[in-house]
Amino acid sequence: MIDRVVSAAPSGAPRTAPSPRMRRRAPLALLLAVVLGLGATTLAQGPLLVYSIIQEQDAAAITTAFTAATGIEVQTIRASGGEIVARVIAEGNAPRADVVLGGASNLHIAMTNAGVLDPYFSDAAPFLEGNQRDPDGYWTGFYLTALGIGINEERYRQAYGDKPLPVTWEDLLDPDFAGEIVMTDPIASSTAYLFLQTQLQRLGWDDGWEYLEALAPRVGQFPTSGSAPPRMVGTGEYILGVAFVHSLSSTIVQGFPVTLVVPPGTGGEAGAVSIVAGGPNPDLARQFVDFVMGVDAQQAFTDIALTTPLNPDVALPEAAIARASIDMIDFDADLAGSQREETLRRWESTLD
Amino acid sequence: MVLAITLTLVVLALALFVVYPLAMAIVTPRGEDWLRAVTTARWRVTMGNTLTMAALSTVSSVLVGFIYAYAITRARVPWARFFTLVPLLPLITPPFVSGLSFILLFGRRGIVTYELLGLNTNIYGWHGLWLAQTVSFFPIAFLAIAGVLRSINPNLERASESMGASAWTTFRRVLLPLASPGIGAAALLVAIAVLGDFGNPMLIAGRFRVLATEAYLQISGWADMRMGAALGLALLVPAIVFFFLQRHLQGASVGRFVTVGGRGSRLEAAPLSPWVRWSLFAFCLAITLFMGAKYAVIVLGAFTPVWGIDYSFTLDNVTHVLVRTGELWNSIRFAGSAALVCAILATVSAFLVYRVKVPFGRALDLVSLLPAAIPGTLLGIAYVLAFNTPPLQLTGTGTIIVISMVFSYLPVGYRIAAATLQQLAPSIEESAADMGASSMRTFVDVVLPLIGTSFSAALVYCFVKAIGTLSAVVFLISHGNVVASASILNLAEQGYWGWAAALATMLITAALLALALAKLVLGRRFAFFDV
Repeated sequence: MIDRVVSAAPSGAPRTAPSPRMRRRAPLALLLAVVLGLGATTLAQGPLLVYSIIQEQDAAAITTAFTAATGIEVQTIRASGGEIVARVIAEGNAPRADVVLGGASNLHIAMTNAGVLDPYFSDAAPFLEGNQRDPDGYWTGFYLTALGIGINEERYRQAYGDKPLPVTWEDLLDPDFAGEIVMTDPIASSTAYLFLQTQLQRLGWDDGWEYLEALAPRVGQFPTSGSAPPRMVGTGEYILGVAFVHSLSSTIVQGFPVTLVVPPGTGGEAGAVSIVAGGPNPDLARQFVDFVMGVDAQQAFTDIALTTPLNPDVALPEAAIARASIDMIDFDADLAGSQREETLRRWESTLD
Repeated sequence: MVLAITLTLVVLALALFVVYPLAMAIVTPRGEDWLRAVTTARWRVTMGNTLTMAALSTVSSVLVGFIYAYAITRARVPWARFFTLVPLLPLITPPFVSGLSFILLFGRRGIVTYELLGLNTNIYGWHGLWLAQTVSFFPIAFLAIAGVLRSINPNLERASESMGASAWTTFRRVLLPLASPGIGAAALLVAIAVLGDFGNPMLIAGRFRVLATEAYLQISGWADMRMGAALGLALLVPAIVFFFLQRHLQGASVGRFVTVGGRGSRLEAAPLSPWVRWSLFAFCLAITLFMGAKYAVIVLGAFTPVWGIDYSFTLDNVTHVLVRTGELWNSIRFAGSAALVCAILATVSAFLVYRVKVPFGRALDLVSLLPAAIPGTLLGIAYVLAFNTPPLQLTGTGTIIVISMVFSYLPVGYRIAAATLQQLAPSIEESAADMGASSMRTFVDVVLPLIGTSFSAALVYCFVKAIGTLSAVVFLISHGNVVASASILNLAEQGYWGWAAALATMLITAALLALALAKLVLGRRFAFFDV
């Protein structure tokens, strides 16, 4: 797996005239390219600047395929959903990225509401249903996610003996689990925000908060990255973790002793790609969005990330869980997007 | 003329990259933000945590540092020369390496706690952070205290004992009072470092929140620069207090030593009872083994498929991070450029203050040392605030990362240069001047060769620190400018310990190579940690 984060020369961005410093560094950059064995690749255009919310190697599956197909270099920075949204909004007056790749649609809705996205209605995605893309084209879905619970059964047995495994969201409130649950920080991570909204939409606003306030003290740690809980459960750092089903599935495939439970009434939504308004390479960005809708990109992504693809021509890997076997609530992503600030502020004050 | 231009440039650089960003950070939060910062329960707890942690980690670091320094300088334990080198290792490796290695050593599936002892311990929390920070920062205390103890003439202790005082009484009534201002100064240096530490809390603090990570969350999660700046400034207040206290104590301790004895009559310290000496030896050995484990586990982790589950040997992690050589190269070239600029600026600035004795020298001195009190997190925030918009738009470039490194480590470079300049007899320069050399000529032909050693020390020190720095840089990275330390944290936090360990191993190797290279080029003149 080639990681494109490192690959492009720093003199590539065309939107600004090269500074003297950049010109001085051009030979250095060239040398760097040769050293990295990329000297043979001709840089067609770009590089395309991607902010990725999905994991680095998953994003690389898509961007490598894109580069192979088009010859366009891609530079990627990965961070968790909240961080990327904050970055794009903060950079609104001087955008430094072309595309935001992945992340729950409510994040893209939040960016749409902040006015930092450009609409693009891709013709390459006739298969998308109503809530899988923005009606005005501000974001386009390309995979589906759902939340689940990962359990390290070995540690579970050691700690709780014959106690049955938790199978519903309510089961997590068991006082015995205090300090043994890991979930991400909703302020930084879209996974955990989806969890908050799932409970609020499933139980209703007031009961939902009651649930969340009861759960918060059980959680041992709130890391910022959605991929942390599956790993931490896998290695036994924590017994229980709330994470995306596909993320837990990949952890199982990687050989970790994790048991996956998908509680009834779980939440999930489309993960999307969107174009940053005023980014340096708008044409490349649109080309990239088209590419992400295609079979090649989605197959490569599904094979490594084990998400459910939206393109119907993609074959589902064996280890992935089919959409049909998950009991999902009718998740309102628009509501989740518009309630983001209110929900997170309240969450922030809920925790000591 | 040349002098005037140099002075203007130095003052301009300091004004632009230290004073101006700090001023921007100070004016950014509004009254309502401050009100929210102090009335929100979450942040009151966070502030309390931060101060408690600073106190705990400082006390333990100073205690360990003092015992270690005492064992080496006074007890003359066996292997003292070797033991002197041990604490230097954490100084040249990024602080957050402690956090990572303690997860691997003492985590739920840690090699010590789980594999060896079969325990089920939880390292995440204030206790894990305390341990990580103590190990990361006791070397600062050790270096400062060892310097203090060496400068106290053992004749005084001899005199005390010859007058019938026991070894314990001598230690308590003679050595400790003499060393106490220096120990206090060391404690404050440690406290400032602990306050600004970002990587360890991020990795190992669990739900224990400190200001550095909380300020980061406000900016990364909320894009709330005002609150981020407010929390960052809350960190600055104690840091500034510590900074001035430290300056005061440093001055006090210097004065004390000069009055104490000359160089000529220096006896060896009196031998301690074997029991004490061997206990101290055991202490040093334990610390050394601990340090060895800390780094061994990182290297081991780099070649382990899944820590805690599959301990077979693999090269996968290494091949994975080989594609990140670009990030490693970024770290090296940014740190290299920063080290060069930092060493030059530090030397010139110290020269202006101590030799040319320019007007407002005290102000220049203060501003050169001031960044030592600015926590990295706040520096990063301040740079984003100051350089995000034209006319000086630097965010998104590698330049701003280099600049942040230059000014983060300027104080250390400046201290090294100042110490050297104060030792050189001005008469040499005066002779040059008498023979008609201009002040610039004097500087280049006379002073530069003499301060070459301190220049190289500043250069190397800045390089090895900058290559692993994180807390300011994390706010400044952009496409094409990602540095290895940020990736290590990112990977470790996602639970990819193998990759994180492999990349950390490469980063540490790069720093060690730089040191070896300096030693090779400079030979005996290379005196890295004599400061």
